[in-house]
Amino acid sequence: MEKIIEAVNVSYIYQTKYQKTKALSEVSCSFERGKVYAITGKSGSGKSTFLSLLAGLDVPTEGTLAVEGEDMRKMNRDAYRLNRASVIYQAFHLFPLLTVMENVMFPMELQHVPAKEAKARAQEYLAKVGLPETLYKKMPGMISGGEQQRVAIARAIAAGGEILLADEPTGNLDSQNEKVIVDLLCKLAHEDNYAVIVVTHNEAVAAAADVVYGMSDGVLSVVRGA
Amino acid sequence: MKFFMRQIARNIVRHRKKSILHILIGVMTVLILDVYAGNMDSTEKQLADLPNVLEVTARISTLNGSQREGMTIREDRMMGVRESVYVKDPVFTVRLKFGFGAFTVEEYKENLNHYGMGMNAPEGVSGMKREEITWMDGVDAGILETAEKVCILDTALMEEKGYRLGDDVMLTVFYYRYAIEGSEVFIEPLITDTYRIVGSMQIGEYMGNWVPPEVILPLDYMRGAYHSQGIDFYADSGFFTVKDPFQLNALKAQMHDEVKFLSVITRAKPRTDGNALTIMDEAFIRSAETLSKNLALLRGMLPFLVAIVIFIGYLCSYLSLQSRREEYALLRSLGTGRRRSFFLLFGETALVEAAACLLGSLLAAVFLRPAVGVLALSGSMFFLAFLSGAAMAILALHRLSVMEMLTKKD
Repeated sequence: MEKIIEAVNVSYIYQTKYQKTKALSEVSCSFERGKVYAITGKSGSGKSTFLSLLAGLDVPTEGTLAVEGEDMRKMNRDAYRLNRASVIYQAFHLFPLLTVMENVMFPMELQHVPAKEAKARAQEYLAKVGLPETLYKKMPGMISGGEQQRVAIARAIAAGGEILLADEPTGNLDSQNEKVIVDLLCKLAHEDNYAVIVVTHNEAVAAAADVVYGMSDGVLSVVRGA
Repeated sequence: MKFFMRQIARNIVRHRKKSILHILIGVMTVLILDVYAGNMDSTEKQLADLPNVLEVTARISTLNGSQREGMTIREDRMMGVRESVYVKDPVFTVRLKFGFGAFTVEEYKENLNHYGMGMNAPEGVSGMKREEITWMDGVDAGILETAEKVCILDTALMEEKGYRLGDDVMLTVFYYRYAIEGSEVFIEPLITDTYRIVGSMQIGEYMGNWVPPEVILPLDYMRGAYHSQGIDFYADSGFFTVKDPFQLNALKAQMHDEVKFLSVITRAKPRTDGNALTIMDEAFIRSAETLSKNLALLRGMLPFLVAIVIFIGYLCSYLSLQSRREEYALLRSLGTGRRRSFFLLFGETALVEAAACLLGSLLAAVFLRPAVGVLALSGSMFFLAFLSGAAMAILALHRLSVMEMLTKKD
């Protein structure tokens, strides 16, 4: 399997006017296509910070984070998020004033995919995540948490990237919906060759992952499978 | 671009309550700016129009200011006034006595029994209106500005003597010579000549101190007559209108330095020398000062008003973006660059405020009826200042951490 992301001695410090907090300390690891990675750890251990760095929302204070050998500091991180990496959040973060369909179409519109094609692809991925067609024209506020999370996943994969980053994707879901989402993430890695990286507290999610990392006080360690 | 515009339009519609609120605030701001710009425009116009409303006139007098007629105004001073670029409608007169026909000095008692004036405009006869003169066909008051041998006769005198317009009349003219000091007046022979009667006059309400004239001759003809007899010419009264009251200082400097007029000194000895100039400019200066102060105040308010509109733009956008921070963060996390995110939000504001600007200007045009320039000024001032404030608020969003905004709830 080929490495898609590699972190070498990555540290991250949150700096305010009055204090500095080291959120990540010399994290080194790599991620490959076709695998599901779980990063577990207590709240405040630095998991979400690491995921945000992997998403290119910021750059490490120290160390190197490279995507297929290209240093993230030097690359166009907006284009990286637009075309290669998608993020799924625990709080879903759907556009509240767009319909389900429009939410899924949005990243494709940003990529200048023609409206017809974007709509067809959105329908395809909404069907893939098991969302009934009756919900397509509803606003996110009108559907359940599990359905919203599925819309968020559909949005992430419809954009056609190769890296899927998920921050507690099952945190707001019941066990039945949780299983659907976990199966979906595994399928994306194993069948569609995504590198799926999931930050989670959930043992079931961790159990389904191919590789499990543990994070404690900003230090990453291998728990299983690497 | 198509997506960009569609997205902006969609956002405006989706956030319609906020858009309507923004439009209302914008309309009110535009109306306030229209009132302000309208005030400034009206004050500027009043100031520019002031010389037409409040004419500034000037009158030549003796040094102590007691006498405005019957003076000796030197010819060089008179010509200095008439040729000045700062002077409009200068009027000079010279007093005369005359009799009909030709006669000698010894025969003056029987013949020299009429009063006359030389002048360059009908206004030289105090109280006489232009319509009180009946002109011969093809002639008007402009003939008094020439040196032609013509005259205007009193209607009653014409009837008494049996003259009609267009007739020629022989007149013997005597002139007044005033002693420089004291009140002695000498009447001495000047010229006997034949004049074409080009006008007749019937003075309704004569307001001069002297006996009203029964004949008027062109001033420059009289001047020539004095010269031809080797006599120094003096006008006996003179006044004018200031051409551009905003150039009063230049006029005063010229009248003082070049034409050698003095200011009135009330304690000066009584003399007949017409060497002082009084400019009636108090009302004009007072009004101009008041208007200038108002204008300066209004202009001084401009930076503050612009700052207030920028602040309103900033505040409106800031408050509206507070509830859209997550939307912004999401846009960024989906790969929308800072520039693109900025223009998405800025374009939305620009469209909404353009609508506010149009609506506000329309309402102002209906209710305030300002000039088009005023509408353009206040509209563009609003648009630029408001959008500057909005841009600052949007740019401030860039400082927020997308990472923190999206993981806050997690």
